[in-house]
Amino acid sequence: MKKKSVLPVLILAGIVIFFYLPLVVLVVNSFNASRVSSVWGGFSLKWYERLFSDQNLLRSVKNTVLVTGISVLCSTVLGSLAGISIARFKSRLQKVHSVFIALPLIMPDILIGISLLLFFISFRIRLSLLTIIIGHITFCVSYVASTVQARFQNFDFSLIEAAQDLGAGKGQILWKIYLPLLAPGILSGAMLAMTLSLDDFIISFFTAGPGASTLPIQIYSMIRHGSPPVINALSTLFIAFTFIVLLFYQRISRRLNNEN
Amino acid sequence: MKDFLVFEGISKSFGDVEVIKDLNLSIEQGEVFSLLGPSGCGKTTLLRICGGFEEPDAGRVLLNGRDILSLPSHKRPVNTVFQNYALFPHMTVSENITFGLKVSRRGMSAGEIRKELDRALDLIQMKDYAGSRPAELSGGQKQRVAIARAVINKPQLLLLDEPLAALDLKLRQKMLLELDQIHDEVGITFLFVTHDQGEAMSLSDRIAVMNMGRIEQVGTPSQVYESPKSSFSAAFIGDTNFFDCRVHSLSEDGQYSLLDIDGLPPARCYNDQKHQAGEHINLSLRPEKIRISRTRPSENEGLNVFRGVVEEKSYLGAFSKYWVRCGEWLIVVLDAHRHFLLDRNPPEWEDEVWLSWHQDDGFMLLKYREQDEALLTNPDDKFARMEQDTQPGMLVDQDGDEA
Repeated sequence: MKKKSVLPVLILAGIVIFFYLPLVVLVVNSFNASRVSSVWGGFSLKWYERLFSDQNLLRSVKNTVLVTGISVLCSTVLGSLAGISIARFKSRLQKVHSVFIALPLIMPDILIGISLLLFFISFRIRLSLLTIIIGHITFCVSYVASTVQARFQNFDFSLIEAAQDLGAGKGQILWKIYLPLLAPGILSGAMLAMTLSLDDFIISFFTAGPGASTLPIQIYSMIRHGSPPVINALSTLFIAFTFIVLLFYQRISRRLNNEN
Repeated sequence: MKDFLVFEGISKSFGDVEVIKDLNLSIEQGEVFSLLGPSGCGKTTLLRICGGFEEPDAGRVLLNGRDILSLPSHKRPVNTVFQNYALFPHMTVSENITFGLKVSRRGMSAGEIRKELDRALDLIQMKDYAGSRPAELSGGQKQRVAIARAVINKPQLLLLDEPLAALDLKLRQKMLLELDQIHDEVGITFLFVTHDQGEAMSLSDRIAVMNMGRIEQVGTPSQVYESPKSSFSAAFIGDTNFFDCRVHSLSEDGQYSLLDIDGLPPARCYNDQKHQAGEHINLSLRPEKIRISRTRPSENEGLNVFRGVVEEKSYLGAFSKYWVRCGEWLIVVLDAHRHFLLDRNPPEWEDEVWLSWHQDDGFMLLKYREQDEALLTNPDDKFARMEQDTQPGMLVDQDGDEA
């Protein structure tokens, strides 16, 4: 019999430790009564209590929910339409369009942030939550558009012709053919947009007005002058939230894929 | 009604390639009309123009006297059965079939739609599959759903784009019968595109043979087969032997002509296209029109006789196929077995035989154009492989006219 090599197991263990040990440390420490992370001071929920009484923090959570919610919604709609039109129409204009859509994917965030800031200032647009949302939409659209476009790889455009042939107008084709068939792509695009918008720091930092800080900005300032254990508690909740969303996403996308 | 669907001076180019060249065609109401030709001849483009998926560079399409080119495809009283069926994968069979009724806002109630659906499911005999998704259906079933989805809208014209190409031979023959029945029941005009002459012949009332964006001939299947008007028609529909020859002289009334064929005795042939003496033409002879015998056929007015040697023979049950060497020509002959064969001592390999054919059975046709030949034998033709199982040797036998 062939001897089983232990090397793959070791590599796997190394990867798991490398990726997940920091998370475990973080989660464990959020329940640590001691302020110093290297000392176990007993189980405690006091950091969570502190977390929920911090008004600034709560406001930034609310801001983040607002920013992420609106920018995901807008960029999903815009990005899906962009993805459809780029894949459907092979005109020269759409080629230009696809280049412009892809640009933010490779452009450094800091460039996007600075240029947005300069743009807002030169047009005398007051920095606020709205400017953050606009900033987030500009780069989220690209991610949604490219995942939707990927869904077109094996797309059978004779379905569109068939729908036209059977009397469906443009709106009906969008709702009854494109949307159900592209739903898995649109969903994963929206997920991607959500994670990107949720943890975006650089662009938010440049476009945020006074008092309009999002969660990442708040965490950053807390690390500088606040208490790290509260951040541990916050991050643990963040992780839990992400896992729940991921679970839902997998459920839904499996169902959508089965339908097609 | 005559002139139900009329194509007037249609031209269409893709880039530098002229796919359809000033095409005129008229189709009657209620008939099954086939556009038959090799791939690349423009037949599918013509169909797509009719369905509203392509716009011609010039010309008009009249349906019932009304120009339909200005209508977008979803407003035309025309439905299409697509080559790959294009069933919506995310919908059930019922949802697919009723899609047209639901989106067209005809103000039908759910009950009426239900009734139409039941009737359509009956028509294609797929009641049990109403809730299935297309992925769960076989090719023939998908085909039937595609047809039901189109005819439920009661279009004035049904376009069928190679609807049987993706099915295997047995299923294709069965579906051909079903299509015929459906046509009888719904009475809609069918415009049928195919590269398969067998399909076209068995289903159509009339056929248009297309080649390189032009129509070579329009006629009933028997007209096109029995009286081809061009070398391309003769070669594309059925098997034929071609002989290069020169018109030696005409009979007094000009109806018949005497032909010089290299290495063969002069032959008399019916001259229906008014070829003149001295012209170089193609003589086309269908294999089944030639008689083969061991003995010299009795002298008979109007019979041409060649002498040759059987080079190859294959027994095919209902008939035998012979390849007979006559000088430099290899002539294909089909001999139907009308009587008990084994007693009749049929010609065998290396036997000397007499071939005879009647002067009315040959056609004098204009010479092949070079491109025609390329089209007929193009190995890149995506249907070349499929063609083999439709009928043995349905394309031209190139042996016939090779030196």
